[in-house]
Amino acid sequence: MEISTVKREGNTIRFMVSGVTPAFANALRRTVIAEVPTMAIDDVMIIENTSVLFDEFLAHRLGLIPLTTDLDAYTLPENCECRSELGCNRCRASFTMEVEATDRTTTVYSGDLRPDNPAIKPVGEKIPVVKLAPGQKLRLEAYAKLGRGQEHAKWQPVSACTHKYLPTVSVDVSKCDGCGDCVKFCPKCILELKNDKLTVRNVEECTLCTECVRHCAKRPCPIKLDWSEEDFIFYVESTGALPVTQIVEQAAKQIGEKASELSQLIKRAK
Amino acid sequence: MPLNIKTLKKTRDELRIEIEGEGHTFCNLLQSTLMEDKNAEVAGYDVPHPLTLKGIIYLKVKKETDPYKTLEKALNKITERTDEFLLKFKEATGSP
Amino acid sequence: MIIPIRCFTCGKVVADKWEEFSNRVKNGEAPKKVLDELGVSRYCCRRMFISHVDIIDDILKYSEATTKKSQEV
Repeated sequence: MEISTVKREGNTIRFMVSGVTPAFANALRRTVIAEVPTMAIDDVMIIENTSVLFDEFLAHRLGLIPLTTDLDAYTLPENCECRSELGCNRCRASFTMEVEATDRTTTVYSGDLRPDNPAIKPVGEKIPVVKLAPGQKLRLEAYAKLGRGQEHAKWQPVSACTHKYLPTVSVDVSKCDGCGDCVKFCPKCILELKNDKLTVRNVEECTLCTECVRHCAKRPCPIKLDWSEEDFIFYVESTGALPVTQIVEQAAKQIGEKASELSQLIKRAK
Repeated sequence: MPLNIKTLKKTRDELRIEIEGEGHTFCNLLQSTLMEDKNAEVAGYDVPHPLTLKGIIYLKVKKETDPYKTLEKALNKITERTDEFLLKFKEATGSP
Repeated sequence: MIIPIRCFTCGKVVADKWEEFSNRVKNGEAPKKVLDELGVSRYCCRRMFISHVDIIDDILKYSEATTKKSQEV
């Protein structure tokens, strides 16, 4: 196994894993999307709401706001020792919000949520929640819990987690006449004419769309599109709730833990 | 969801277990890891209902091997691989 | 009504980019250029902006009118 070409930009990461099975890559992808826990508002107590949005509309919008998560300080409610429906300090973070529009229309932003624990706060301050006309008022308490994407998409730590095989594009130069048609039609611009010879650059950008083969006049086409079934290009885009690297690490850790837990259970069942 | 297993069938060379709390994510990985073992004759899995998180693993091994052993070996292999991945990933990204 | 917090399809947060998008498009910039600069690359997220009708300001007018009326009575 090898990991290479890591490209990290803010909340996104692109890397290549070589020498793994498709099942492993897919388990990792699925775990990242559905099983890495994050914080999200789950319970909202509305004390006063004279805005134009219904209480449940408001609660839904609050739930979708990504919150910065501390996985070490909080536990999932189902694993928490408190066993209480309301939750305790280990499994719940609370927020309050109080906004009133006095003389002009006011937009309520995610930044108006006042967190009890400053470590758990909205990822962005500028997410509009609702607009209030003069005289309208909003007062509420919100409780955030850890949860998983498999229960509700608001707990998904990523907005994109994909993998694809590493494409291989080879050109049989002896059969190619260098007309350059394929160069024009490649949407990812990976083909290039160098001294009338077709060359390939940035193969990892190739989406295997086969446009180059389709627009080639020669039959059989000198361009061969193929892929490697043990090299995967991953792309992960975090919502900001957790750093991307932590999401991937947590997913791998969870798969391993599950396997060792199962092997313990099997030893006992034998 | 806490993991729970139930042995549905066990003969000399066959094993069918139900894993409560696991779906395609893990069962597919386990099945393909089981098939890598040359002692495994057949390995398959089923998720009986898409809305209940439950997977059934079926394994048939070649003679003179214990299906439980094969299963444990596959599970250890998964742990080893994720550990390796974690190590390499941390190295590659430079995170502590 | 009001811009959805996240993209329906992928779950990327789009609401925090709406105000900038709508202001810049109102000032005559091409939506394509604004979306590219805001880093909205997937077409699922782009349609959230392109197809959204921000109707909450119109609804606020009615609620303002009704509150005014009830105060007069």
